[in-house]
Amino acid sequence: MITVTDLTKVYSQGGRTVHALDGVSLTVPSGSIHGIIGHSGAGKSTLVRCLTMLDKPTSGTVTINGVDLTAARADALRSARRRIGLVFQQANLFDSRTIAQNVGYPLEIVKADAARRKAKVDELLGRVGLADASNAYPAQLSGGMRQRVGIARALATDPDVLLFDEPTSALDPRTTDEVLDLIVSLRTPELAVLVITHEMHVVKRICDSVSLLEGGRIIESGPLTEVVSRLDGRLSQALLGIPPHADLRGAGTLVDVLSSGPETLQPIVAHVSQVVGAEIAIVAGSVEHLAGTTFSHLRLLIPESVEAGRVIDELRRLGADAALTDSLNGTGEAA
Amino acid sequence: MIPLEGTWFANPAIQKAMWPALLETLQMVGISGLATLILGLPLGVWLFITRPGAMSANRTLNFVLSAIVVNITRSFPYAILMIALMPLTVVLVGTKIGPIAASVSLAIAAIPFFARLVETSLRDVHVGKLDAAHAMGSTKLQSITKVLIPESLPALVASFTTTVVTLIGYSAMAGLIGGGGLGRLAYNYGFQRYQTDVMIMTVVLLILLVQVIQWVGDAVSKAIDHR
Repeated sequence: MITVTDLTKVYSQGGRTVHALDGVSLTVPSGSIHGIIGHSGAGKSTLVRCLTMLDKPTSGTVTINGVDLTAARADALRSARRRIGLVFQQANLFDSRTIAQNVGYPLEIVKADAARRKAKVDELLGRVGLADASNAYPAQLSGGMRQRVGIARALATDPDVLLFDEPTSALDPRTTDEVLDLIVSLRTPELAVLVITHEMHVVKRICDSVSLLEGGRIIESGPLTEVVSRLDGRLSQALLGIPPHADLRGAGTLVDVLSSGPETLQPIVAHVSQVVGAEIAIVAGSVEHLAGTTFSHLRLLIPESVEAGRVIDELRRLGADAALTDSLNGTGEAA
Repeated sequence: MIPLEGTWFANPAIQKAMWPALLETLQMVGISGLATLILGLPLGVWLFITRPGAMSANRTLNFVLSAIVVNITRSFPYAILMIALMPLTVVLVGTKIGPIAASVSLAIAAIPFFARLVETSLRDVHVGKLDAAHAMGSTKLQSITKVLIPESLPALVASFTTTVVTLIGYSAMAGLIGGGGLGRLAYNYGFQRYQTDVMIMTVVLLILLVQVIQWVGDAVSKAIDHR
């Protein structure tokens, strides 16, 4: 379990004070995969660097299974760091070392004996599907394979927390999915996984819970199914966004409706059409299967002849969430 | 026996003096090269790690090392440096003539030169690799010896090759003021006694020497480069 409490990082840049992190708090329990999503400049990189103590946070604490990293110094910090396995966007493997030597590095620096090191390296390379590549050099591997090596290396010290910094941002879509599947397969009850990314796809595919980072603050946070269900939530709009559509002002009233689970299988729009006695068009929508639940977010065009409030009440009565599109913050663009 | 009469090889300066002169040159370059490697590499690493933002950032120390130790030494033309260092040479090795004495000034000229090249080579190591080393719990020494230096080794070998080639050039100059070696041979016989054959043979020998060193350096650099 990793707990971050009120983490701040302030630095000055050309005489200007920048609050890169502005009171970030979050908890990732062991056994779960948590995503932190944000645009460039949101503070993602700073967060990674502060979590691993590559940069010292200005204030706040980072606690891993009860050990406060921010209070540790020198030797204690080095051993505390071994509780976090860090996987970088570009893998950052050592080109001068073979794959086996790369994966064995974290054990080499604690002077683990050669036999134990070899056994661990073999086990890890098997786990990431690269048992044959142990004597190759990183330059001989593809981007996806290098990332697998990076993951194996991060696991070498049996960390309590695995921290991924944009793990798939440099990979093509197919390789991305392979690496994401691998991340999911690493899930154990003892391991807390934290994935920092700007890709919604990553969150949708592997995360149990997610936080939205913006301007150095966590704007929204919660289990994936919960944040997606909030019709006016930023994360819901990002994960289950309405694709762009024609400007329909004047043609009627736009209403957004969000349903999840069994309701998504019900013909609620047709049903509401009947009840209000008007034909309702679906102008745009997105349906996603996330964390085992199907979510549907539709944008409906209500004719002027019908009062939108009635439609909304009726949709809510059927178990969906609905609201006037104009009342939602943003209009369906990504968070 | 091959008849040498009437050829350049009949010249006793070439027959008798060239081989010892070559050995003296190799001795000067060898001793000063080794000293440069032993002292210049740590100095270069030190320059690198004390830079602002680096792992042992220390503005004052970096200024002293970079602006004072390295830049000032490098500002001296070698001919002036070797004369200026004569008193120090006497203290260190007891004499100011001969290849060993010449090695002192050669090393002092080459150490900052090599250190600067080392620093430049180390800068090319991707900062993410050092982040990875630190994040995995490496000590500073481990980051340097197990990551920084191995990762830039091909560039370091190339830098050292450049340094040795430069030392050969300096060693010819050192020869003029008592260092011996090919430089003195070329000066005494080729220049002062108008023996063009000696001059040409010396130049050929130096060209071959530089070519061999560069070739070996390139081959080693390539062999250890796994990028």
